[in-house]
Amino acid sequence: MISLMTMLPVAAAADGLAQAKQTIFGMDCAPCAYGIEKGLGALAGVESVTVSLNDGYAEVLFNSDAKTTVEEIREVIRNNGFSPRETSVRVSGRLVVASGGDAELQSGGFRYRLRTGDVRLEKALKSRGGTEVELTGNVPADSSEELVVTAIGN
Amino acid sequence: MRRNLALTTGKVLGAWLVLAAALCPATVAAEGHGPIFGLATPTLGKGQWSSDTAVMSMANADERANMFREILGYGLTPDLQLSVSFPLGTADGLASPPNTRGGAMMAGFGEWEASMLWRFQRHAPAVGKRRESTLIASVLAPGANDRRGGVKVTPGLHLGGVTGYASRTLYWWLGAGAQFRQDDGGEQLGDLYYLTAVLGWRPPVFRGDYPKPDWRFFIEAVAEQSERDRMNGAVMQDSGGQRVLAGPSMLGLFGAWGIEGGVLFPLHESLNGSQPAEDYRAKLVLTYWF
Repeated sequence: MISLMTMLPVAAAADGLAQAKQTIFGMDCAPCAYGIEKGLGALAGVESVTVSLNDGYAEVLFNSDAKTTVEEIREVIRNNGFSPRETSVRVSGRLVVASGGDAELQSGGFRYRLRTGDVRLEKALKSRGGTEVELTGNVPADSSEELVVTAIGN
Repeated sequence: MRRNLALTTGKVLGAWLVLAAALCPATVAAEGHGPIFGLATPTLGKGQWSSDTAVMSMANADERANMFREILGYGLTPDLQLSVSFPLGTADGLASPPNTRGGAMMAGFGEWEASMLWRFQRHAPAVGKRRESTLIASVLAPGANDRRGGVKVTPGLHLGGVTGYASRTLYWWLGAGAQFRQDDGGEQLGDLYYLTAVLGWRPPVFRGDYPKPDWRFFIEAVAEQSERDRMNGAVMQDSGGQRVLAGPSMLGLFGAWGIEGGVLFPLHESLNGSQPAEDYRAKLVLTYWF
């Protein structure tokens, strides 16, 4: 299954993270937010960073060629001494559906294993196999390679 | 009976060598975003630098001394910080200064200090909340003023530990430390043992979101037990004793900048001899995070 997926070409356009909202535990003060803002701003393809102390998140907007991954965002959070939790993302790439039904998104040179909690959404995903899509969903705190899809865009 | 806790020259030199090796790539850390007199747990982020420029004032009934210091900090990892603190100058001086420290990473007047902070325990249970514990080890070296109260200032070792809680509303830290001096030909400043307690609060009006200014207020307390100094191998009667001080401090944070000021007043003094009673200790720190 993996070899079949690997043979499929990865799209060059509309590829990668467009937006990521990273939940952060333990961040309490302005210098904490400053360090995270500075660290995330140095990642490749970042257009803007917004940090909220009160709601505990950092929101990053990327340009269309960004190759930054969720794991790289979380590494910045960890390097500043805080705990990264769930990440809400909007991400584009090529949807690949294996013959066994497993789906993954090839995005910015990275692969996300896809799952949904919704039968209709799962059917919609499978019907879009092999096409370029934009997905919205959540990357769980305990895995940077899994995407729980909540919506499918164009 | 006074327990002799004097460090041997070998122990002090050994500690220097260990820390010097650790400091080879770069040196180090800050009073930063915690209290100003008490010990606190936060350490710098990995690769982050900080600069703290401090002025500390101490006074008794007859005299006042001002000390200007710089503390440079560097985050080796998210939980391991290195720092070096050195004097920028001393104005005036006390004839009989108390045996104390200027802060978590700040030695006495005129001294150099290199510190390593290890945040060995950290738990973030929710947004904006953190429970953590940190150990501190420092080595001290005399600066230009090599005598304090007539006693030779010798190299020393400082060890401390602190645990606490940080949130968007409340803070608390409880710490303890000890400082030991090398015996140099019968001259030695007394060993110092201390406890610190800090309670912090961020009023609702200052809980605006980043990048709005971030202010918080602390009540800090320091309890010190100083052993007697020794000169020519004999204890000095007018040295050492117990002090408990407490007072308010406040911290303002603006992006990469921080300013902090506070004052401690003696609540209890039980001195061994006829040393002058202390009036206050005040401190002002300007911080920048690189």
